[in-house]
Amino acid sequence: MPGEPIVSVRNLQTAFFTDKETIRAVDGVQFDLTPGDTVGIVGESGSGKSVTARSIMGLIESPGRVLDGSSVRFTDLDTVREFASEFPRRTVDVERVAGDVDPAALFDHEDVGVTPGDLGLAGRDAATVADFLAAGYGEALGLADADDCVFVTDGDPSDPDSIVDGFVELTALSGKAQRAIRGNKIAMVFQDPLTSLNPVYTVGNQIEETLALHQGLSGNAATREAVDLLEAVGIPDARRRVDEYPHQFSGGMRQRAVIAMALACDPEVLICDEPTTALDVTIQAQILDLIAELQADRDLAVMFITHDMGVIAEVADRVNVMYAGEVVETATAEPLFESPKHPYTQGLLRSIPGRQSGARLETIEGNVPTPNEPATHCRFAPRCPKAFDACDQVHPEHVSIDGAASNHSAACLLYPESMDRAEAVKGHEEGTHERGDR
Amino acid sequence: MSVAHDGPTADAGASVDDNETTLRERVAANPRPALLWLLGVGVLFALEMGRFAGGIRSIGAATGFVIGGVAVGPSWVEGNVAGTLGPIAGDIAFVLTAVLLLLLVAVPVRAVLPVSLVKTVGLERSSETDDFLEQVLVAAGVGAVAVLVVATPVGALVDALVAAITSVLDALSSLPTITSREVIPNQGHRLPSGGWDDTFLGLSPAAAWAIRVAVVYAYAFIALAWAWIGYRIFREHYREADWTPRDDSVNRFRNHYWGILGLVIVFSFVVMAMWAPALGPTTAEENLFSPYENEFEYLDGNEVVTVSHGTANLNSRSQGGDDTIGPMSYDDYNRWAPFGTNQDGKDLFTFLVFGARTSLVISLTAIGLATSIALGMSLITAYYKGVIDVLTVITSDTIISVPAFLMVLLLSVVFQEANHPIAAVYDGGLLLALIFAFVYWPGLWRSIRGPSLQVAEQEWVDAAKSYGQSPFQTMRKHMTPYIAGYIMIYASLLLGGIIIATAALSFLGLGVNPPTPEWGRMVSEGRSYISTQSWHIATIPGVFIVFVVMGFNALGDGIRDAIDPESNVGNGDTATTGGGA
Repeated sequence: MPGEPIVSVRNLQTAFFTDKETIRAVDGVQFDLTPGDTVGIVGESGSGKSVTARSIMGLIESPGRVLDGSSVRFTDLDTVREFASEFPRRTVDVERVAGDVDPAALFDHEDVGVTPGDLGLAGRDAATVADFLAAGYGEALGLADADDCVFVTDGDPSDPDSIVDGFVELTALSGKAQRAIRGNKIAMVFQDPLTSLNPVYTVGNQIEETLALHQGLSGNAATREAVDLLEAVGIPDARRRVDEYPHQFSGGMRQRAVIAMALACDPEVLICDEPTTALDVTIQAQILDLIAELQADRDLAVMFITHDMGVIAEVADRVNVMYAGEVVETATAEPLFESPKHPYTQGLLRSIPGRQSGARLETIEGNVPTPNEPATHCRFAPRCPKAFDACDQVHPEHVSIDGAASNHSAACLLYPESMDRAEAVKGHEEGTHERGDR
Repeated sequence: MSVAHDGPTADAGASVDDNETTLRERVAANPRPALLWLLGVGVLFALEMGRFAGGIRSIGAATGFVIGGVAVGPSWVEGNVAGTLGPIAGDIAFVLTAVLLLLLVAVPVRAVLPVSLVKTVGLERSSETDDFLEQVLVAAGVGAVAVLVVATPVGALVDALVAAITSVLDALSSLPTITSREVIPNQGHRLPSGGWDDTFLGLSPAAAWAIRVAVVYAYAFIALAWAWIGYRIFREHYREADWTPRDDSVNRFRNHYWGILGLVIVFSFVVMAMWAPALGPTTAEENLFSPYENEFEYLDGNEVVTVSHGTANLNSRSQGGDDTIGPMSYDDYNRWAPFGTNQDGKDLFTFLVFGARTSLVISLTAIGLATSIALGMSLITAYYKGVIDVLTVITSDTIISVPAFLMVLLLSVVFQEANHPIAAVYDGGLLLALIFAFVYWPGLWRSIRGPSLQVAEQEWVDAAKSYGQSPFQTMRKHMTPYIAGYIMIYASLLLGGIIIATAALSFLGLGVNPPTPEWGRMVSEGRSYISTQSWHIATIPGVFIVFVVMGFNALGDGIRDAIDPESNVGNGDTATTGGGA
């Protein structure tokens, strides 16, 4: 695996509380984003891809909420230093508050609703106090305040230069700290370039707004920077076009402008939420090339969401397949497409025209179920061609497909392949398999 | 709207091509149309110089009054506290109040300060404390200025400066303006030899008055047309963008004849209110408010005698029968009464123009308040949703559940019976405005709730959040433009409703009390003469109400069709029928 992750998503749970039911749109997702790498998230509509992205950005609105126990850590050291000096009152010196607290014993606390497995840990003893603080239990345990969001694990928070390790917890952000992350550190490109630009302002005006926010540029300096950005994303005659309105741009141009806007403040992480879905195939290829180019230039960590297997094969270094709020299979791109393990992934790949076995295009029967209760069984079982009795009773753990630690894992009772079926199911039931998604 | 780039342009000139210029540079490149237009503005301004100077003077006086009021605040609190708790407590209260006021005043001062004091002084620590520190620094600065003015000779200097400016403005405001009574007087008396004395060019009062009214309206409509021409010049010669989304709305409105009729009526009404003192054949002070303290001359037989307005009014009453002074006639004292007199002998036209002022002030205050509340609440509830939304729904439902007019009646009776101080301001006008704002904001809020929720779901709002824009700026820049059109329509429609409701309340005797003129009260007072010779007392104000309300509704229809891109007024055939529905 290349480099250190810059964003670590652990046990992300986002639920929407409606009068009728509670919809667990994202249920225990975990993955890492690394500079220079693209993580693809793929799945049908309603599988929770966009909600995952919005949870990371903090864009979940009432009645939705990111649940306790979720953690999204932003580990860029410069950012942690900057935040520790900017927001001293929201910074926690983890070493100091941890004192002689026994992290393993905290799992028994009445307010803590996670297991070591949920947090992606090998066992109770592997837990640290920082894990509990990041998961949002700081207040319940009396260790931190509810709005603390900067956690320094090594170094003195009052002297930013001495900090060598720590993280900003994105799910705990609010107000000014949140606005300092958005755009400046993590930027997002939305699906529809027609509606993500405000029709009443010129394109340049909107890019300048971003520049004014984070870099304090205004007037001619901002205009020049906006022109440079538009040129960087390949808009010809940028000087003239900077004063044009969004409707005067074509679809591909608009998406380029949106990307320019997202990159205006030089973020570390770019989240692309189906950026090419609204575009035709040739423009789609151009935009994908552009994103790849910009990623190479700026060492961006990219999270790429799409429902198009073809697109994901082209852009992603690592792929997470989502189904009904859960990641069901994760692997680097090549093995995933060569030998998909989860029956859902296999179904998805077979339903691409040209890859089916017979004359007719194969499909996966049925629809994605609404995940409205905690998972006690495999959510894909009703549609799964390989389902057997245990699938309705046991919720599959995320395991390495071949038992050993590898980069390819799936949440399916069929795995690990090395065990016989009864043994594998037993392991899933008791949670004794080694988790495979880290 | 063009993007006006401010800031230094000289150093940028080298690297920037001709597509990127400031408005000033664009004007400099082609100055002719702009100069011609500015010349016109200058002429229009010069013609009414005195009125503008007077306006500035009264704004200045009001500002001085407010500043004076704020400045005595701490001493006032000190006096009160010292009276009950002793002198030391009084001193503490003085300091506390002064600090509080300084911090409050610092908020607007901060907004206009071009530089951040904290950064200039180099006290930057963390963004948590910077904000507060900045506030304190600005407050300290304001305090220093205040002490300088109060305790040192600088104060005398400021006083002298203010006095100088005031005297200049005084001199300017005494200049005759083209629309003033003095330039075209109509109050004169007949001469024994025939002809008229003291009137404009010796014309009859009726002719002089008609000329003045014509001049006022000509001036106002020319000014309006000139503003429109200015917009066209800007659009053609100086705007960077060839086309902006607003152009379509403007073009649609231009072809919307029903809407334009509404605009003309509304504009005429506003002119009537603004130029009320110049339009009346006599002044409100001498004819309506204190008729017995003002006298005039008239020809009695063969000699010119002096009589008070009050006495003359007594003999000019229109109470049915043959004594009626009807529209377009002179009374026995040779006073011109374009709309006749009322049952007290007062001039109905003068009453009407000042009544327009009352209606406009009340309805604009009410609509301004109601619109701001509704807009603010709709933005906040659409942006944050959740609990605040539910609370607002409950509050507005509670207010709406009581029939609006009943609620207005109830509140106005309660306040007037209690002799609340608010009920005394403007003879109950301010109270009415506040009540209307309170009763009508939930309706306005509901009508724009849909669009607000819609725009809050737009991706560009999410995009603004995703690049770190603050909630207030997101609402202001990315949500308000979308809702502004809707609220304008509903506000202009509601304006007519408020004018009717004010008239209705006054008709019932609960609205605006005498002597402040109000149309509804005149309808009420004239209604017993409706079947007699004096039919005009109730009829003319009634017709005015109908026309003004219709005008506001037509204007609202026009704006609605103009901002709705799917309306098809451009083709002409729907324009005439569109607004009639």
